[in-house]
Amino acid sequence: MKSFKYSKILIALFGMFLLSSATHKVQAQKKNKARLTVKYKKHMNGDALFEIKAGARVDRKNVAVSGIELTVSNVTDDGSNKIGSTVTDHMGQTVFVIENFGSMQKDKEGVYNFKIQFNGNDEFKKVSKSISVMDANLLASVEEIDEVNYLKAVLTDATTNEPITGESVSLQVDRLFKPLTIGESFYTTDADGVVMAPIANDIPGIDGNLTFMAVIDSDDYHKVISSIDAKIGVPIVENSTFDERTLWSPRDKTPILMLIFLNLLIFGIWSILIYLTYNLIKIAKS
Amino acid sequence: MQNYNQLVNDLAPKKFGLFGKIWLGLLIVVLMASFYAYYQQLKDGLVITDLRDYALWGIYISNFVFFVAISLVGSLVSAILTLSKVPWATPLTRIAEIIAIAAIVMAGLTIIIDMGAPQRLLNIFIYGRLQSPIIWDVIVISTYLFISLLLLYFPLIPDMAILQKYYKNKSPKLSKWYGKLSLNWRGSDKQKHILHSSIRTLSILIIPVAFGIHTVTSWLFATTYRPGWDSTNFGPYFIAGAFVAGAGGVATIMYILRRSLKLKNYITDLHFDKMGKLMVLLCLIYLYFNVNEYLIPAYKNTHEEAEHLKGMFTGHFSVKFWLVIFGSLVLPVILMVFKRFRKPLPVFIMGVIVVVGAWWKRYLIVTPTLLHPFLPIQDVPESWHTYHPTILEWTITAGTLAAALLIITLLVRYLPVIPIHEIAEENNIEETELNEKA
Amino acid sequence: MKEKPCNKSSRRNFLEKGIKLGLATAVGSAGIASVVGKTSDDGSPSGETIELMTTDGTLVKVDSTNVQKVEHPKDHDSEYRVREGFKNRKFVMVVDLARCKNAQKCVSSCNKSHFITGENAWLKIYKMQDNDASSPYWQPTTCMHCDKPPCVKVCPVDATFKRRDGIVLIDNERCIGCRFCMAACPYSARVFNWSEPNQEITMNMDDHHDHGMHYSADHAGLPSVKGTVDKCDFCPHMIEAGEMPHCVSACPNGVFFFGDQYEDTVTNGDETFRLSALLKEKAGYRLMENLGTEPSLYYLPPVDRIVEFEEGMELYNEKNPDIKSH
Repeated sequence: MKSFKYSKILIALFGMFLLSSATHKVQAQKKNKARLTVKYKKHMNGDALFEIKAGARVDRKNVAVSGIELTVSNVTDDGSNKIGSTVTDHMGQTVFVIENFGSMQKDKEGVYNFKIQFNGNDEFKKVSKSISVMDANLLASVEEIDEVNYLKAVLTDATTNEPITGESVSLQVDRLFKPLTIGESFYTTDADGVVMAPIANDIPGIDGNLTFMAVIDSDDYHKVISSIDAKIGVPIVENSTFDERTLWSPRDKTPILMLIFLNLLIFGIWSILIYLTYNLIKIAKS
Repeated sequence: MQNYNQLVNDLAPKKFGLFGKIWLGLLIVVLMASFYAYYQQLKDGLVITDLRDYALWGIYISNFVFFVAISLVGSLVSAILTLSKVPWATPLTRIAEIIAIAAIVMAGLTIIIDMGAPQRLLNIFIYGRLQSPIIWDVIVISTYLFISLLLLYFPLIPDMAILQKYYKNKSPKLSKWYGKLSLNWRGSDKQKHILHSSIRTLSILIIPVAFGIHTVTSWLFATTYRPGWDSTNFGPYFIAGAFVAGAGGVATIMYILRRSLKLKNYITDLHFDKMGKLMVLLCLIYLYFNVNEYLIPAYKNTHEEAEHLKGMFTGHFSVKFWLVIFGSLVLPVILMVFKRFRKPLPVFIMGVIVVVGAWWKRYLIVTPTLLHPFLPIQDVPESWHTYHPTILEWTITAGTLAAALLIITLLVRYLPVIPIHEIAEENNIEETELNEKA
Repeated sequence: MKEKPCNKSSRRNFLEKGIKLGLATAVGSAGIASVVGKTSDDGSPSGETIELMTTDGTLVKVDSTNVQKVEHPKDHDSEYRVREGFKNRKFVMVVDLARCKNAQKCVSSCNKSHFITGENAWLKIYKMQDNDASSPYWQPTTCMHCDKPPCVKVCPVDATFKRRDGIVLIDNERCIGCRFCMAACPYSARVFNWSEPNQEITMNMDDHHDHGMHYSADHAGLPSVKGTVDKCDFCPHMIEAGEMPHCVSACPNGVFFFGDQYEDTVTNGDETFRLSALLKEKAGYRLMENLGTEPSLYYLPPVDRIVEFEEGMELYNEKNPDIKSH
């Protein structure tokens, strides 16, 4: 399901975009206060990033603040380094990827501090939002014990490499829209930073392939996601009648018997009719 | 009977008289009005009708079913009666074929009028899929039209030759046309043999195709789940109803032609007597099917059927329903059982009543069912709960009826409505040289 | 639903060709916000502007950073065909009648997203009562996307079709407007464009040079075509973008669950369940099972309801939801 044929959506939403920009013009007289919501997310198999949403309350209505430039800085004990900037889309949302997390600097307590800042424009006042992140590593794996598959996750502090105990971890299997929880909704890490849950043996996946995920979402570490693929599911069996000849198939998949019967009828009757038409010529010729 | 000269003179097509011209003018006026109305429909869409998401088919479709029904008369008179060697049927065969062709042509056009996107008509041929009853209908209607044209034309060939001679001096231009259409008919044995065997083949072939066209048209409804349509009885029910409509149509037209073309000697009281008897029989058969269609579901009275039947028996459609059942089916049976009602004028009146009743019967088959869907009609404008055809809709429908009558009128103007050759043959009247003066 | 980052050279490349432009910013709801964060090397607006023609024919200038190439399927692309649908998917919906209180949000969201201008909403909430003794309940009804669709059976021109992924769609460029499918549908799911729809969004179907805008059956209602049939499309345009149908995400009470039957999972956005377990536990059923149409829409019976039925009466009979409001 790749991102193709967006054109329809694009144009559709473009219309909305135009309309929403019209409301913005009305507000130009007095400056409004924008609100920033920032979420930090770290994919163990990918990037660390910020999900930012800019909104405002205008005329007692929540509106998205679109098209504003936000600068992202790494705040250190000595000052702050700008690491980049991003612009919100028409929904007031944007994602900022921290390209080189290893080069970020911690404060003396081992915490990364970031600041997302908007410098203000004609419509909205200057606003900023700070976020502190402790770096954790989460490692998901699938283990087979006594013919039962378990999803296991180990949580460690990235700075100290010590296991983190007492943290809630959610174990999931990835699905089309939202992941499906494995076992309980949360497991708490033990002294070794480990959680584990048995995986049902009847989870369907294409060719039996499943993607499992371990997720934490805490105040200190924010969201950390680790995923692992395993071929331990039940292969899905497509039961569509799409390739069959049915009454609801397109014309090239007409049921054979119907095709034969109707064509026999049609050709049978029309060949007689053509013969009779030929008889007209015979009358004229004789 | 008369001599050959008089026979040809009586039966050769004649120019329109005053009445004919007024009639023609009237039809053209109605037709023009319907062209205007259809232009509005093309421009604004089907919104000019009172059709909406629930009453999604209306008088266009019932009119279509009516035309299909009327067209059955072609096979009734010229095939079934002829094959069973009913001696009095010969003078009626051509009238029946003319009605059938007019009806089937207009059936095809009416269904196009009902289409939301008629500019895409060709899609039916480009993308047609054999699983759809509509495609079956398209195939069987075009087949039936072609057979009907052949069945009209074959017996015409000898008549054309006669008319060529007849008009030689009176109207050389017409004569030339008749000559071309006569296909060099000289009445040789070989020609006669081909002609008769062809007519016989057609007469047999048209019967299954005629049953097909009515059955398939009934399947447009019976292949759905809706109460009132969901019936295994629908094919024969439609055929029985079509016979009634067709017989009524012939009774009506033959009376008018007898009067206007002065054919008293050819279409006799005997014909009206026989048509009256035939109509009694056909109405009884159709009543039998109606009992099956309405009383058996009423006996079971499932939730869906009950709602539908209530509308028919006592509700919104009850006046129309009982008028159709008693006025156009029971009444003709009761009256025409008696010999004195089987005279030309009463049979004509009954014929008109039967045809009008047949039209409304189709309306009662199409519309009430749609207004009783499985899920309740909710959250739509009040007017969507009912169906009252608009003036424009009626105008277009009137136009299709006028067009059918116009086709009949024009065919009657140029074709001998009584087969001259066959009448001469049956009555052993020798073909002689035509007397110019006669 | 991963997005390909659009780097500057490829962007310029397509700008030179001048083809198929779309507004990346406008796709926010489609979950590809990340595109913007990655488009520019330094993350700042590029300063280049592009003129785009909007659907009403006016030209607007947009920063080129906000413009993303719209990818169209190539002819040899076997990934996705509109008439075949998504491979290895079978979409199902579960409607929990115990939660519906006729809030009408699904209806207004669906109307808005499919540019429905008239009374012909595709999604209806019926006030149902099975018998006098039992309580009335609200029943949202979309197209059932039957596995044995009676509407598709009767279509003479293959305009409405059943896809491999279970979705039943209508090709409004082919439909001849005979309305046989509407007569055949026992669920009254289909609506007709009796007049010119007069949508805000219009598309000239004959002009294939209008900036890559092509009619596609998988975003029904865009545009609606006079004299043709429309109905709920299960939002394949949203599924493509990794989002759920509009009614599902708009419902404040989590009535609608959507998902892939092969994955045996449905979600309403907040809660995710295994389909088989949910249907077993709550005794899920389908409408008019006796007809053999095999709908893809399941209902959970209206037991242990979250609110009294009467609360929904407030919005009942509302005939003209303000579909144009944003």
